[in-house]
Amino acid sequence: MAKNLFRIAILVTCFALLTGCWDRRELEERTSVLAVAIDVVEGREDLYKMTVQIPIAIKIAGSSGQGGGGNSNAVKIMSVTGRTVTDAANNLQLRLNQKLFLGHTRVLAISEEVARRGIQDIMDGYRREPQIRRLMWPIIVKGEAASLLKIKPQLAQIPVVFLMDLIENGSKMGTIPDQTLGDYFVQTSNKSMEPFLNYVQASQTEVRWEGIAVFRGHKMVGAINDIQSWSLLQLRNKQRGGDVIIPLPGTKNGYVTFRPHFVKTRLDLKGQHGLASYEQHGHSATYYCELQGDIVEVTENLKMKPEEFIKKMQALIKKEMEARSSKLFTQLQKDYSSDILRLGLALRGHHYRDYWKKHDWRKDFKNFPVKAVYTIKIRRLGMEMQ
Amino acid sequence: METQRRFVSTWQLITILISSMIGVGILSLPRTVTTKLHEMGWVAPVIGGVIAIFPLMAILYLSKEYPGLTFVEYSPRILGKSGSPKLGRLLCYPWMFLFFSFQFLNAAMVARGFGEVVVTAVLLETPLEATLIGLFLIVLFLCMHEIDVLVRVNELLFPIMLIPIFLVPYVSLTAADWNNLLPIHIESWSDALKAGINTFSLYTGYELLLVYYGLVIPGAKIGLATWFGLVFTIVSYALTAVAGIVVFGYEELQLMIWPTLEMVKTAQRTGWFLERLESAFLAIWVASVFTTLGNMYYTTIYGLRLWFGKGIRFQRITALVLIIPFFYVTLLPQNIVQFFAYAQYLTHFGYVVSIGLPILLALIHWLRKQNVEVQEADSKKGGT
Repeated sequence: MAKNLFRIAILVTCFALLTGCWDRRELEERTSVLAVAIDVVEGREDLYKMTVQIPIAIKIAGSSGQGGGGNSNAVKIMSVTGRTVTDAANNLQLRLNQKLFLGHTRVLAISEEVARRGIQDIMDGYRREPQIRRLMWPIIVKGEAASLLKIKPQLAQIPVVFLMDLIENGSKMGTIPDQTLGDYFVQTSNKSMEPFLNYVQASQTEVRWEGIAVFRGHKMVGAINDIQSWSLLQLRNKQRGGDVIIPLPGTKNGYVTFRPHFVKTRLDLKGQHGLASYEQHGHSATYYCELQGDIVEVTENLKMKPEEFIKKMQALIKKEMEARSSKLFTQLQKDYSSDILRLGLALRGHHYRDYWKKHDWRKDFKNFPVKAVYTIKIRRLGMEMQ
Repeated sequence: METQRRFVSTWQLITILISSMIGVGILSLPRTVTTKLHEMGWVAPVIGGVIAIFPLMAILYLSKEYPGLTFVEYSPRILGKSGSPKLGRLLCYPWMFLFFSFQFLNAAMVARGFGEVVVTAVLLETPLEATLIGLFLIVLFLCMHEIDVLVRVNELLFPIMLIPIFLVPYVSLTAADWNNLLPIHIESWSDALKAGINTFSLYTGYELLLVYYGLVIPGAKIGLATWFGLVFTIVSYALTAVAGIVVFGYEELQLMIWPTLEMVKTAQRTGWFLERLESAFLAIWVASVFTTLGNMYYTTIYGLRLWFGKGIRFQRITALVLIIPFFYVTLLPQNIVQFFAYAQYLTHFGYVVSIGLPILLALIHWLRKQNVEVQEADSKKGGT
């Protein structure tokens, strides 16, 4: 019996070892797509144009002995059309010698025109596809989305790598929101908030981050520029945003530049618990935001004592930041009526009975009183004393 | 014979209990618990765990009354009169049938659930059958051995299984928004109870202790093992639910089939050498599913062997023969929707088998014991 068992065991082991992986597909048998761009087709409402960027491994510098040379040939760009995104991908497959592989796709560029029409049906395909990572970056492109894939940045061989680094570095520095596909999914399904995506513009040789594309549901309703986006980052994500450059009052051409380093934000929701007759006037939201940072540039000598200077600058920056944030709130509430601040989530969490159940947040956000109070703490003046 | 059979230590008992309970259900847990309870979903596994305490205590009580015996052996004694063991055995046939068929079907659904995860998420081109046959062959191999092998396998795989349980909440911390857990507010308690009752199916597997309590070494702390195992499971389920809610919010959870797996997919900059965690996670998960499935299938076979009083040869042949219908039962649901529907039916079946019958059995035993004591007291009175 034992001998027989031993034989069976050997047989099973052999079977297990001799078979290959069922799904085995070598790396060189796949066509990896690094980025996908989705555009509309001129004159055809029902079609999408999908453009993909495929890196050519042999031509990337370092892998060949010659060192690559120009970067123009390191990638192949292909465009196809289809009724849906998957249809377009299938059409693309017909033109490729190897199987299309989306597992390495890092950027999904969507043109503003498509985004304004709504991207629900595009996202559905990506939701179901297990190869797609939730960490992929969807980006809204001003103008044609394919232009983002066609840039020749010269600083990186593969254009998408340049773009990825741009976002990654930006989010590390706290100037660009790290808005992934997963975040978008969560924000669209959650009833208490609205989604947003990064908004860029591409030219022949470069790409520039323009701010944030604001959505309402799956439709893009507008964009906010970099300065307001930084305010959003400070209030929503507790990230520092970019430098604050303010003209010095009373001077001709003087500017002061403040660089925030640490951000502390606290959201204070006011409201009456248990007061049934109380309408929404009782509820308001205040962001208390504390910025710690340095003065990194003053282009005009103000001729005042350092203590006085700091006090004056703090007041100046505070005024500027509050003006910026109030502009942000006006844009979000009056122009777009889209709560990308995640204010609704906090409100649902903390004022469920007295506010959330009695109001329709999507309609009510417009008129909800929101303000931001900044505290500026200047820590250093750089290497200069004044 | 009986002294040879008693070898399971307290620690081994804990590992068996935990790895039988934690199975494929944890992959869909954050969705199933939040369907009704929304952001309070983490309460459901706690309620489910509290429900599981009652039958567990019943089983514990019975095992203390009949140390060194499995339920297969003591059930006839409880149901039958001491004078006629035949009657007890006859009465036990439906109970045995229900128990073994539940184990059998439950094991099949565990296997199917695992197969579905693998096929939808990782091995897209592999037929479901291929994944399952691989798993079944190992289980079959396990069934060719005596029960101490199963116990040791559980002990060995337990630490591996711990990794994903603690990894998932850790990983999710990077993307957490704690406001998602608020408000702490239960809309209706009947919904909470319903969700708890549904979640109870995550705990099935503990009823295997009806057998394993009978195998513990004399002096093992079975009460301690039970409490530790149960509390551990409740905590890890609640943690997984909290992690899911915190990362995705309950609305998003409703859209995902396997939220726990998606949670691993969102793992960002974990600082490890692995760019993608999900494959590693699933690889570890195989161990966990294997213990659940293996324990259920093995116990079914082993229980049948005990019931008919046969040897290892009978066990091997039964395992081999039963794997064929088992395979077909596994493939019974046509699609994922049907799979979840079948799993739901099985939950109802589970109430009868894993809650109702142990408690009933314990109750009968207790009542008869009272009766006997009263009689004894009476006879003593009469005697003196």
